[in-house]
Amino acid sequence: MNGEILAMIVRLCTGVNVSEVKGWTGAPCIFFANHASNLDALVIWAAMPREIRENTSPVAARDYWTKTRLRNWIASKVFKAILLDRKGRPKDRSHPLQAISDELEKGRSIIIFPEGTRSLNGQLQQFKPGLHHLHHSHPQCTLIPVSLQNLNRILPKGQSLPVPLIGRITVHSPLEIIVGENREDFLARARSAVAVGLQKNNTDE
Amino acid sequence: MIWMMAGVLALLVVASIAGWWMARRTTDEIKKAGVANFNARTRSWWFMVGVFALTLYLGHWTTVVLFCLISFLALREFITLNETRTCDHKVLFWSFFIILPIQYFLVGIHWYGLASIFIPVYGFIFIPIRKVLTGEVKDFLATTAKIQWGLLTCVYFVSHMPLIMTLPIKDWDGGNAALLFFFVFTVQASDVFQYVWGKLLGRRKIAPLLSPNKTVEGTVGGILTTILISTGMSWVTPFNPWQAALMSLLICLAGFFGGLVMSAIKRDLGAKDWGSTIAGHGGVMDRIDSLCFAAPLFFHLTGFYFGTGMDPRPPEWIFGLFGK
Repeated sequence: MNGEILAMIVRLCTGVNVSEVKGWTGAPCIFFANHASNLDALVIWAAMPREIRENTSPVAARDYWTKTRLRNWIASKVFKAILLDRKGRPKDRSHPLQAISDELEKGRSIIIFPEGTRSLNGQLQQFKPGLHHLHHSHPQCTLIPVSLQNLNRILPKGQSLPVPLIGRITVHSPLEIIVGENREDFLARARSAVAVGLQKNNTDE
Repeated sequence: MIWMMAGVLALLVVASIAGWWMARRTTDEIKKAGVANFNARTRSWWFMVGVFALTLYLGHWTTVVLFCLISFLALREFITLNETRTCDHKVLFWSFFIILPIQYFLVGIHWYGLASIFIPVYGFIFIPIRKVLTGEVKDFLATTAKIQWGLLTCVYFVSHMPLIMTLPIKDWDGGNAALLFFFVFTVQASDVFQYVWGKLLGRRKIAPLLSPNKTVEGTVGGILTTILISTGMSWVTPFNPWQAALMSLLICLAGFFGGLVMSAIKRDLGAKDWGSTIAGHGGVMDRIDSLCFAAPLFFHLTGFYFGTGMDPRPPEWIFGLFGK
């Protein structure tokens, strides 16, 4: 219930909405997107159709989403994010991607940001190997590229107050799976699938 | 006021019935899309007329809040399409959440003197100062000017409509809500009749690059029809019939050019519509583009010739020229 209200508010404020997702069968999917803002995970989650939203956990930064009580409540109770430490390993020394793997094992879909960190100027950075690692350990999961535009203008890195601009989200067709592809080729292909949906929207080079 | 409202409702009923009839009769796929757009437009008109009439009925402050919201949505569309830089973030925050509400607050408390200079003086001086504090120089003038233009057209110009509600008029107590209604009706009727005449007998394009749907026949027919109707409405305004005719001609021309200017900006940015908020029409800016330029002109001309306390007043002989 709270989730529905929050999703509605986010859709209203940022103008993002996804009407259908090609390749969604109910089985766990890995949505991967470009990363420019602390709001990215929340916005993608909110834009999804209800059925997908209820079965999807976004991955978000622990330090940002536990900073205030409100954020903590929203992240843990409302959009049920998997909170990830950005610096160092978790306290129990487990693999940093373990929490994400567990979620996929449970049959839930996830939203991740393979760049690892937010881009300062809205340009797509190189992808970290984490996406390849997840793909390898969960080959049955559908990989769905997502492009998110204008979020770097709504809440850029280093700013605390959002500006109410209209965001744009594109959910692409699932990434084709090529057997025997090496890591570099896979990551490059995944990256260009996201880059296709990003037009120039910011004059920063 | 009641009679004007009844007239608008009658027009909407006619449009709805015509749309329903066309939808039943049309079998051609291409024409079907046009009819569907016409019906979406009509449905949106019902909604917009309803909201506008309700806020006018509820009074001065609700009207101010309505136009504040319209400005907010229009500025949002304007800034979204215009490229700005990351260092503009703070300036944009000020524009949306501080300058815009202050402007409408000034309108709301009837402080005409400050409301009419707040953005062009204080806002325009503040914006480059706040921007220079970021220490960035790239595209300084271009991005500053874009933000200033956004505030000017989407906020300052639009705020002249609720400002009409506060305008004291000599020897007239017809109610300023009627005057605002007269203005908005004239601009929007001009848009609608230009569209209708253009669809019926439009042949020669008037500005093929800027606005491919506008035709000479549509524009002339639309403006003449509107002047005819608005002149007939002069009894709700402080104008006599020929003053009302001149005023509506001016409103129509300002509306037409306002629409063309906003369209030129939009096309340069590579967009067909400013947004997708209003079904059939596009964005909020697509609906109010013709109001932007006409509103301040209408406000000041009405104020100069018919208002009281609007200093500086023009010399007396100018009043003589225009029958006052």
